Amino acid sequence: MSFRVTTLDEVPREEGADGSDWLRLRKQLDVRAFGVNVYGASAGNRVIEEHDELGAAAGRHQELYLVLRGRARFELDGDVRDAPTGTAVFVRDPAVRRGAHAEEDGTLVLVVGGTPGHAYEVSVWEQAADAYPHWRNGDYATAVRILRDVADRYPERGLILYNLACAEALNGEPDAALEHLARAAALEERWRQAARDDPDLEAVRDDPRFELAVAGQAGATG
Amino acid sequence: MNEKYEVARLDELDRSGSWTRVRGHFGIEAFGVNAWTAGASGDQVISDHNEERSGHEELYVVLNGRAIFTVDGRDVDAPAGALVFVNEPQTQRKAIATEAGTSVLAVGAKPGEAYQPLGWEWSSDAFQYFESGEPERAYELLAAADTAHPDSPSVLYNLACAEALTGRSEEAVDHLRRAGQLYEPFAEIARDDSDFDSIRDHPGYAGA
Repeated sequence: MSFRVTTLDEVPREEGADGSDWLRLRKQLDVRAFGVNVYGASAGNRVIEEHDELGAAAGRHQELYLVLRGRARFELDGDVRDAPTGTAVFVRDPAVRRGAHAEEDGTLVLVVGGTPGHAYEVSVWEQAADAYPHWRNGDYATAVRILRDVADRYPERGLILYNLACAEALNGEPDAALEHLARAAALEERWRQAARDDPDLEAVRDDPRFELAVAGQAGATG
Repeated sequence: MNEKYEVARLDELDRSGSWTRVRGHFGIEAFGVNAWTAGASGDQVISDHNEERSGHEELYVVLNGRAIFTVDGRDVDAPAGALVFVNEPQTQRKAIATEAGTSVLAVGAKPGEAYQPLGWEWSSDAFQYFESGEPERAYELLAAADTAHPDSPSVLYNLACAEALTGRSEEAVDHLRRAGQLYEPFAEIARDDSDFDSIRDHPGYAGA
């Protein structure tokens, strides 16, 4: 197939971060040269997750946001910008904290991303995101399988290891969950605190090895 | 301008004819992106072309209005919100606006390679100076583009034009030859291009 045609109203919507609608354009069209997705939200809701492009699962991308429908309010390192339809927001510096709320129902924002000087690769977070629809449906075994595959290819990404640990705990695999939690906590301190309050880890929280795991100690699983 | 980020409305960016320079305006280095706007219904909003030389995948997003895309010989109705993705570079594609003011965003890059701005963008910058009768300024811009992006056929061809117009005959013949080697149709195009009238009697011209 040399080309594909669709419309914004036909692209299936998945649940994105912070409850936004995620139109997985890159995956749907099988775009391989740049990252491209669309996010939607109703008035007052978050349409672009607050984030930077420095995280372990991010790609240090330059990002171009374009408001396709509705109106959004962007925050860029705390700088608030009104963005009606037709507004482009280009974030050159991957360290900029950026996010947006929808100001009107039906707001849609196109996002295009890539790393200067590097061939495009599908972001790790996007690969891991294939697991989440199964997770939400209670099919933890499939979520574990997908996240393990991603973790095997990117063993130093704390976000992936942490989410894998959660999925394993929900899937009744305490040994694997504690091992991956320990690896995540050793890589990034933020997972130590997150693990204490995360209901996904309820099944392993009373395990005597839990404290060792959140301390990032490799011996957590004996 | 904030060096970390910039916010602008697309309809406020500088437009050259139907072309809104999105990538050039923001200084985007990771992918190609531009917008094209048709003044009237029936105007071509995406030129008839393929991406064989660049190897780019291209995604077209109809921002407003309506267009008929013709891709690989097939007509596709594309109202606002339509997304047309052409993954094979050799596929011929174009779009004709069916409403006045139709705008299409085009995003492109080559899979497996770091993005490089295409020569036509640099050449397009120089056209204003050809049109205003300032070939020396076109020459300066294109010579810099050739240094930054060597072996871009369109940069070499237009550089040769500027050199011919500014009396740099030797360089013009050399660059025209290289342009024709990299993209054969340029040799034919040059025969009817009046920019080269001053070098047609140059001993090296026949070989260019």
